[in-house]
Amino acid sequence: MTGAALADVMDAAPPSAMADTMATYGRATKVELERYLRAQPSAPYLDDLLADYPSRGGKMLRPSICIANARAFGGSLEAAVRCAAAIEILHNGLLIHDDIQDGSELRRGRPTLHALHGAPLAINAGDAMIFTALRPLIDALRPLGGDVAAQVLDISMTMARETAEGQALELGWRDCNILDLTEADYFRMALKKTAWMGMIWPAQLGLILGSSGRADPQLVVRFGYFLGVAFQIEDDLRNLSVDPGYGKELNGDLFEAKRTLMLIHVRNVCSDAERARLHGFLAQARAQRSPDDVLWLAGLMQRLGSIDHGREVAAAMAGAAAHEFALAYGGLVPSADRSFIAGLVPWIFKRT
Amino acid sequence: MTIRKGKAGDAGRPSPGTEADGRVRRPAAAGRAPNRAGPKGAAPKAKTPPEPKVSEAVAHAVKMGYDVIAENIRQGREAAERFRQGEYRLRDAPGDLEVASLRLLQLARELSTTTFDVCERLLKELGAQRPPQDRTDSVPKFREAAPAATPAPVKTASPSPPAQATMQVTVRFEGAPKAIAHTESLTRPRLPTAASGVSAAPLAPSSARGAAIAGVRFEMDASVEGIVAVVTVPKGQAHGFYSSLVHAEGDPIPLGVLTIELPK
Repeated sequence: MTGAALADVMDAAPPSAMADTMATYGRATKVELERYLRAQPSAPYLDDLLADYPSRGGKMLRPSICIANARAFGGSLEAAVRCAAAIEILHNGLLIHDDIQDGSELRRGRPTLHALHGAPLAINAGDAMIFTALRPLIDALRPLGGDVAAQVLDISMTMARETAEGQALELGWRDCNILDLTEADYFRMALKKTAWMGMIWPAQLGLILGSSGRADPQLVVRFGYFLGVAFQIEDDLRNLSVDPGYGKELNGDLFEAKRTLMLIHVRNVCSDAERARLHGFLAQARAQRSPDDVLWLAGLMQRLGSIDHGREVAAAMAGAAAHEFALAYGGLVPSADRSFIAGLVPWIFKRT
Repeated sequence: MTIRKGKAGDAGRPSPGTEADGRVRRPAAAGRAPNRAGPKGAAPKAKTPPEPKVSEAVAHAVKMGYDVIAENIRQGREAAERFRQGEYRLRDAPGDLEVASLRLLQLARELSTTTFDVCERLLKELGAQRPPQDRTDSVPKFREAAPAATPAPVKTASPSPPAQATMQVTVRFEGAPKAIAHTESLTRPRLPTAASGVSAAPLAPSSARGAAIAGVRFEMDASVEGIVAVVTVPKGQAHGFYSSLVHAEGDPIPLGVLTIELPK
């Protein structure tokens, strides 16, 4: 199903409305986020680091999902924006740690925090952000009482565990050079690493907040999962294509030997000789992998249909997300926020 | 099959069909043979139906996608059930995990006492909040608004409180190696409470003679389950039974009675 067809089926917001909503919710979140980050006493070697990543922009996808869900389920922007700030602070803290774990050099077009200040100070800043996120979360929940707060702590602990498991899977597969992965393995990793923190948790927080704890947060798990898997595949595909707007190193995932759906596919469909060369490539350290080999692998993926397969599966996952959207949100009164949530599905393929 | 550093046939490789690293297995025949025809696998049929058709590979991927989330939800529910029923114990985990967890707990306690204190305080603060009057009268309950007839469980803002569970108590004596503890458990505090938030009045003697024992403090010890009561018995303390009410900070209802015996 094409993006346009999906949008029609689901009463999804058009791309311009998606961008406007994300900008509006992003701005509101940023104001709140800065208020919380500045509320702390001045601390050398810390304050500047905390403010760095949030100041670099970003899509503000997670806060927007949270706010839109909160409003779609009956809440207000004012109440949801603190939760959204908590999500964004936590996300930025985790990004700092991710960059260290991945040895990344660039984040949003500038040197990573550990490249600028060294790993020890960067880790410390990441820790501080993760715990700082608790404050706006607690403040958002205080008016709703202990039961709702316990519900939020419950889903947050689940998210933290799932995300850590997903990160561990991806790092472990790469570091231990695990080769015989299946597509189901990939989906499981994407569920944990991408979907839970990026889509499911923000949607659940918004749902709980907006409904004052009356709606079941399990409602949005499947929608968030399929959305997250489609998002991750599309992200991996963009890394393999010449896209000047993408902003990341072309074929960087191949240099990293990242276990993508396309890599799993190409390994399954290539000849024995090609597989032997592929295994040799994957067994090398990153610095040893030559640009020629990377280009060979990219060409192999193209020739054997792995790129097309990735596109088909991403579209299929988006279709499943649309199906789950109808089940989870179909009973809500139509609104701009409900349309925004629906619009996330086609937006995956149109985002810049 | 797990191949490390690209070398096939490692001794550590699990036998075919087993699950290494808990990964999902596909039947050996599927997707293993080279497939030059591309992801759709089979050659195109002579007459394709006019309506769009889901390719086998994509249909398989979607099915796997649903299997993955179904399994994840099942595991999540199972874990949640265990935690909610309070049945989870470290001893359920394998030995090495238990040791690692205990070390981690200890390390975390040493490094992050302040952080845990802050979290604990926040939790207490939240727990003490009363839920507001139902603010969502104007919002239809989700499933009631849904067109589907299937009713869904709607959580109320204030479910009836669960019965209070108990916690194990280990009594350690200082200055009286032969002393005996007669208390093995206490009611668990209603709110998250640090061990330092649990206290006991001086242990009063059951008979008229003998002074009370004032030295009672509570501690956590990751190597034992529950809470540890440390009783310091002064030299020359008269033998007999001593007891006292135990309270959690901010809760007027006692958690139980701590009773010890100093034998002759």
